[in-house]
Amino acid sequence: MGEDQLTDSTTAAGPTIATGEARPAGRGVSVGSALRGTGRPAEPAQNTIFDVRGLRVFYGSFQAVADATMAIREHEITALIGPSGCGKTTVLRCFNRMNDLIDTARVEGTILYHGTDIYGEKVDPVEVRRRIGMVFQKPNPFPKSIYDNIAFGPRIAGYKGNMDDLVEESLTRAALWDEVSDKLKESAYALSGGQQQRLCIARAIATSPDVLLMDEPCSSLDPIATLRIEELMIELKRDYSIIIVTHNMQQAARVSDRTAFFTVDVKQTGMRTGRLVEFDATDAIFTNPREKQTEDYITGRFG
Amino acid sequence: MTDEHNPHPDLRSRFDAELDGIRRGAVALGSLVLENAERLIEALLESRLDLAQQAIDADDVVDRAYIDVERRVFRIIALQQPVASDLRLLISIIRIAHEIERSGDLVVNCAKGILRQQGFTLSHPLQGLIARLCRATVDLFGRSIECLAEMDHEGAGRLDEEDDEVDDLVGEFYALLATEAQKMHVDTAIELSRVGRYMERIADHAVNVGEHITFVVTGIFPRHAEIDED
Amino acid sequence: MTSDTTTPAVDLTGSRPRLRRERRVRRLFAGAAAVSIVVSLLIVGSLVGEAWTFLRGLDLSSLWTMGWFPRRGLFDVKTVLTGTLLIALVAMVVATPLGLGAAIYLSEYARPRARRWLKPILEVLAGIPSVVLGYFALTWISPNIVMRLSSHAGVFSMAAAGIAVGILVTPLVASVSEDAMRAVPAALREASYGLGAKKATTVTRIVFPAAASGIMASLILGVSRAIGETMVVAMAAGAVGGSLFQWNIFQPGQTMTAAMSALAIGSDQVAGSTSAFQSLFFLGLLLFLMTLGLNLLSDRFVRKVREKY
Repeated sequence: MGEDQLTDSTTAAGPTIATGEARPAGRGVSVGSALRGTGRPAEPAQNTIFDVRGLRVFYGSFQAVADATMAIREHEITALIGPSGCGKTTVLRCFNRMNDLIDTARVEGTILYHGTDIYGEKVDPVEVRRRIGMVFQKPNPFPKSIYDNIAFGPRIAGYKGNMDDLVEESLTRAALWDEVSDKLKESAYALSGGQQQRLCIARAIATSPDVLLMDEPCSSLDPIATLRIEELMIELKRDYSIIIVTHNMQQAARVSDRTAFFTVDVKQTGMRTGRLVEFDATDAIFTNPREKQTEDYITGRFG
Repeated sequence: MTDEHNPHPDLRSRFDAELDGIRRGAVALGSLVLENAERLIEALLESRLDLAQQAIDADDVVDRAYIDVERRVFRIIALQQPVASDLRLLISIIRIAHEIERSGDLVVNCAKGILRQQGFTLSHPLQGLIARLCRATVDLFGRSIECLAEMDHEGAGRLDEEDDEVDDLVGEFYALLATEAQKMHVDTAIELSRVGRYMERIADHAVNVGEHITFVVTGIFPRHAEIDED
Repeated sequence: MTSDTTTPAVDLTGSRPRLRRERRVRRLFAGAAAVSIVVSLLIVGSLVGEAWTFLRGLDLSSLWTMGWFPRRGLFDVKTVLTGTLLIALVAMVVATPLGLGAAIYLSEYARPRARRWLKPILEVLAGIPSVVLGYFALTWISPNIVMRLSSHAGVFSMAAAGIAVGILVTPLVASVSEDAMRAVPAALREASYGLGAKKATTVTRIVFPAAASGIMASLILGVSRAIGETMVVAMAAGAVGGSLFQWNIFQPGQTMTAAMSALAIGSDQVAGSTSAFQSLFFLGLLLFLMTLGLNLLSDRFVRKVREKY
């Protein structure tokens, strides 16, 4: 059972983050040679969008994540699963430097984004967050109109183009335009939970990122709304790369292309540190995982 | 199962019990067919028409047990969304149950043949050979059910070799049958050749059962792996 | 209806003594609420009664004269009203930036360690007796700030009093608007940062507008407090007994509250049914109505905030 190593993947040429040039929305170039693994059909290699090496996260003296190394591919949905406290949300928030907002947080290791380490010295986290959007567990639209919610990101980034068109495009991509096109000036809070979450997705898309990070985006929604968002995610991966944290394993199985399983190690001191156990194609993880810990977790016998 | 990776042995104990129950249901199904096969051997060798009839009647029980196993598998898949080895087990149980049920049908076919011929009077060598063939086949089948009961995939791997023995016996049987055919009624010869064929197929089913067991335990289907290596 | 089951029916009626106790407690609290309503009604009643008497027995032209000289029968309302409003204005000019600034710092920028000693300091400020502030206005604010700003200003001025009242009101504005800003859910800030906003952008474009109702409430409360302040203005605004109508804040002036206290504790007693005494009630009623109106207004704003979250 071979693991697909991305040793010969090529990264798309693109401007570096530090210069802050504008990037078109998620149009990566897929170049690659077919890899042949044992017992697996050949898969075309895709570009790596995040190259994570030796990622460790500390809150003060408490280590939340131990040494994670993984490569996230473009135009795929990558799911991070695992029991509570395994660090999956912490890892997700590393990708857009949201952990910087926590005083005691310290991140070690590198995360290469299009070849540039986002934790490099000269890197401005604000720039990082403009290209890497985030959707949170509970929908959190601003107490503004639907229009202003979407326009917020572009406005503060100095967008000079036609805002009406941008708002319409974002809402269309988030499968929400038809439902709100006649009430753009109304408060975002008038929408249902599922609609608010799609609004948050549209808001994140409006800044033309090429990555969407989603932290349990459906956990506060009903099953129908959940299903719509899952279908939306699958459509969105054409233009974006998506990383999703979910505690719903069936959801990870339904939507993701690759799945990373994290577990939590409890030391004698009682410190709970998260650790990446296995990272593979989703169908492999759910039909024949390599690690017993993975098997135990996904069959519900652990965690 | 309690170990450091499973600090919650009670988690899913009902589910585990259900899985185990389904597996044991498949084993019980196999035992029913095995019992029937023993009846068949005795019916064949002793020309016991009553036992042949019993074998045919007992197939109803087999069919019902098969339907029950299938139903339980569907139910647990729908309600519990099993994955990984649990899923492999359940899919394999359906296939294994099918192999067993087919074997049961083949036993019935043999029994019907015995009834049609009102018993076989065979020459000594032919009698001996058919006894060895049936014994080897039924023993092979019995071992496959044992492997199922123990989830023994190493034993399951050896079934293939034992099948070769059966195939050899079938070959011998046909050779002998060919030479003795003129001495007997045409229908009898045809019926006996059918019995030979049925035994061969029962043996094949037993080997298949073994392969499914290997798949559950290792996640690799022996035949698929051979294709991939080409 | 007789039941023929062997087990007794379930008794859900509850214990008598407990029910009695609950009723007693409820009546106790209802009584407390009633007392506060009664007191308010008494206050209003006493004010309205005497104020009406005052107005009836008055030559209405004396309500619009050159100044507030009650012992001379001159009751120029606009003098004291202007004084009150000017003091409130100066106070808010001081308290708004200081109060809001402190609130923004405490809510958005200060680390937990800084908050731990900054908040108590603000509370100390809130606890300073107004007489002390009045004294501070005369001895420090007046010479060091007011008299430097205007050469014509004397020791007593509305500016000095206004600044002191502003200092008095700052902790109130800071506290209420800080609460309003902290009530803004962290999720909104996270969303803003997630979209690539800097901290200042998040504070000004998300937190501040979201807390706007609460902040408005804090400012209205501040104005209300400034209007009602008596001691500081009585001491530092410098018009004991009466004053002429005055626009210039660097001059002494008279507020409604100071006028009332001057009348009530003036050297020549004003007790009795002279119009001077009754004018107290008239001013008191005006004051009451103004602060009531402001508090109702601020309440509406606060309710708007609660609707959102």
